[in-house]
Amino acid sequence: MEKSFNSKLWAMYKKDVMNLKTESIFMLAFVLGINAYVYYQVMTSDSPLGASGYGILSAMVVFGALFLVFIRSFGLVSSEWKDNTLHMIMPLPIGGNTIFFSKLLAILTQTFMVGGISLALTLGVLYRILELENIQQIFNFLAMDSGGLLSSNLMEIVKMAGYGFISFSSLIVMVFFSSVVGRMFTKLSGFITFVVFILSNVLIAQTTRLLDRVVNFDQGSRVMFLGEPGGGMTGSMNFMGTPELLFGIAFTVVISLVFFFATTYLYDQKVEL
Amino acid sequence: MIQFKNVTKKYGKTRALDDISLDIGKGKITGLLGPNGSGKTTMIKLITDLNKPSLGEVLINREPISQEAKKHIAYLPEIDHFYPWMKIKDAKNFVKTFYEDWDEKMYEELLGFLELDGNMSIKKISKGQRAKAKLLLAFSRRADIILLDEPLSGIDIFTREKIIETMIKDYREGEQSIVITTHEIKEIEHVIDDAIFLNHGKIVLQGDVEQLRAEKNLSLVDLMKEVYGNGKEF
Amino acid sequence: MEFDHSRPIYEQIVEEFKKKLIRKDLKPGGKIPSQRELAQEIKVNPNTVQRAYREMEQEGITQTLRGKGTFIIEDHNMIRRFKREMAEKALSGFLEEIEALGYGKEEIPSLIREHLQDQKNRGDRGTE
Repeated sequence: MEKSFNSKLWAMYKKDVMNLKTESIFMLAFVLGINAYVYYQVMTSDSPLGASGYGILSAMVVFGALFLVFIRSFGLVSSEWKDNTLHMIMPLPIGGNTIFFSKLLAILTQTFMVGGISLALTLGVLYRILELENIQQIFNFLAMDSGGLLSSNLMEIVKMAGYGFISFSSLIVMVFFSSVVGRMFTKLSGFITFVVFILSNVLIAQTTRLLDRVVNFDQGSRVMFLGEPGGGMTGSMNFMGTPELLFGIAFTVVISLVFFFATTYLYDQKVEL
Repeated sequence: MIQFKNVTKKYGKTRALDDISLDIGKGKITGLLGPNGSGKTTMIKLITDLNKPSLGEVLINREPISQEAKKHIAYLPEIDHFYPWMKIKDAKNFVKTFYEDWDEKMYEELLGFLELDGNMSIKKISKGQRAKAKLLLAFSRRADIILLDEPLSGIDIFTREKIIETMIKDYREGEQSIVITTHEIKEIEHVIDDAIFLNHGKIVLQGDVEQLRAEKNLSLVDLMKEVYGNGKEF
Repeated sequence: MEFDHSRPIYEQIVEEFKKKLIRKDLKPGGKIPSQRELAQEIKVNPNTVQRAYREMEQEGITQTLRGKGTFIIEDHNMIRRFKREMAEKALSGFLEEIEALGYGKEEIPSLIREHLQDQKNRGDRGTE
């Protein structure tokens, strides 16, 4: 019986999820801990930070958790070398595409789990603090400096979340790429990984800027990439209309695919133990 | 069946293998013998595609090594290669997903024979048990090619015998090719068909073991002493 | 089974069968283990056992009946032949050692006779 691609991918995915299990639990403990602290402070004492201060702290935990997921994604790749488990993976009749796709899926699963639980807790805390009547008001609170712009269009939030998700995935692909390049060197591979990661992001930022000028959207609109200095989800909200967003998504997807296949090519052809 | 054609492998400036050409026969048990650093492990790694030749090529059934070829290769590395969270049965369930030649019945049988338990956590068991767990995964498949990298090193004598018995137990003579690297020649003296002696990345002697015995009136252990100079210990 | 690793193992397996026939542990017409069984029992590469069995078949010691197994051929002269063969082998080994001690060929028969006489005397005294 020919073993199907799906069953192989599923086995790899389960394996990667198991590799992330322990640290995911730690991340959740961190998120729960801070939110419990916030909740306790808000409920019991007249706190020095003030209710809104705790709300912001709780919201920051969401980004903190996502940042942890991002940082640890380097570890998911490097542990294969450190624990000698590549001796189990490399002889398998599968290529780099399956190996790294399953890692991406596992990290995104972790992102949804840790990020999702964190976000839910934060929304819960905000709900308690502000005694608000609906979710939209919470987002208004979160985007205080956008002056209620968001509340007028919940759809925008969904779009931005989608864009954020794609940008995050793209960032993880860059992690894979730089890790594999780093591992092609026996010495200083950690340092090389770091440098390649920074350089490739700078390269993408420059390309984005160049493309921006070529495409030349309406004044003030700019295509954003998460890796770009000063970029980020909230910063770009005011500027983006639908065509710009679609362009941004398309660009990010293309870049990610290029880097993904470059990663798997290097893994298949160049990586040695 | 496994061919090395003028293969050189360099790590930086050191030549792990130096212009090696040879043919490892189908359906035989071949011993890759020699002291540490002679190039045995490098040869195994080239067959599993863990390493790529610097020069020359390695062929399996006249084809370069591909994913298709890997379907028929079982590899037992010298180092422990399990994920830290794995129990024996986790490793089993993972590995069996990838191979059509996995034989669940053979696995169950070997598990008992090697006195292992699927619920053993691989991180916690002894070195000998880990060696047996690696063997279990390699021999629960009806693989055409089985590559064993130092399966005996650092293992107590009883476990060694168990390992050798496992190799012989379900061996399909004439069909299955086993390549084993070791410096414990005494233990595998009566197990291998062909011997390849390596030194500094070159082949110093190779041949049919029974024929070598008939020609030289020496055991492999003594032959090895002759080949590498007297009194040298491995 | 212990092997002398400086000689081909398949030859030693064949010899072992011959000895078993001489000692009557095995009888002409008797069935011998399958190659797989023997390989497992004596922990030897199945390819080597296969070689030994092939050798025995060529020497006319055994025959394999399809689906039934491998049997010793019913030939009682064969055993006498093996006995003689083994004796020759033992003798030539013995001669080699004795000659190495400097004895001439003509001295050897009397040497053996004296030795046998001594043994007999010792044996007689022992039973007294």
